[in-house]
Amino acid sequence: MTVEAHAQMDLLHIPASTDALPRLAEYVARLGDRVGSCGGLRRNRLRLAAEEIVVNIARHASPPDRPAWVTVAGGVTEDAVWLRITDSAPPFDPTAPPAAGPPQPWTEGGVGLLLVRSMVDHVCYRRVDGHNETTLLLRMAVR
Amino acid sequence: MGFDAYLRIAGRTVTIRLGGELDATTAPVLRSLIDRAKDHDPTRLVLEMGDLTYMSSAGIRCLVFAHQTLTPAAEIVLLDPQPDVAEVVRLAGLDRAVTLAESERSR
Repeated sequence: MTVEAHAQMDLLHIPASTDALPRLAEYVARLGDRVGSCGGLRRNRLRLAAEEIVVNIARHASPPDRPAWVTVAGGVTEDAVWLRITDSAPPFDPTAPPAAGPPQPWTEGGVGLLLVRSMVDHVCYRRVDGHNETTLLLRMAVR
Repeated sequence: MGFDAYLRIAGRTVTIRLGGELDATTAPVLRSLIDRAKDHDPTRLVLEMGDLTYMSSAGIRCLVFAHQTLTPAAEIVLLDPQPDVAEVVRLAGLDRAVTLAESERSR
């Protein structure tokens, strides 16, 4: 998956903490404001997926006394909105299939990642220079 | 943004009216109200969701907590959820454990 670099917004730097979720929500809202056809419902999808990624880092890879930092970049293309979330936590691929065994979507973490994969049209993960890089892409057209 | 929640008890029906955004920062409020509801051993827990504009997986975990905490016979009803909130519930598969319903006045 590739995303256009044009029309990219300023970067957002936040600690991987639930306290930072309002700033992330505001960032996604500003991104959505730039796209007239991105209605509230689909904007919520992008916000929800992004929050789940950050909450996952906060819960599993970020000690409360020394939170990891997350950098968020976002932009729009002709037909999509995208967010790229970069963090320095240990490797974690949110696109990886759940561990073998019966599906348990209600377990801690399981439901969040299930929602990430369900809410956006593409989730792409790369490990780059010691960082996790997760890109979420939401198409404008109603599915 | 913001969040508010009100608890109402009538017999063994507990109603919690929710408004605003239910996410990881606000979910502890709902969880504590569910904890209080449990003390009344309700047979019915109604979550009025008409004014709830956003729910993340933290809200789903609250519903799971209610499902696991209340007596097995207790019915959990989500009343008037907005479309994207209802979608999150369905995608999480939780509509198998709770009832999604519309009130008379919302029809």
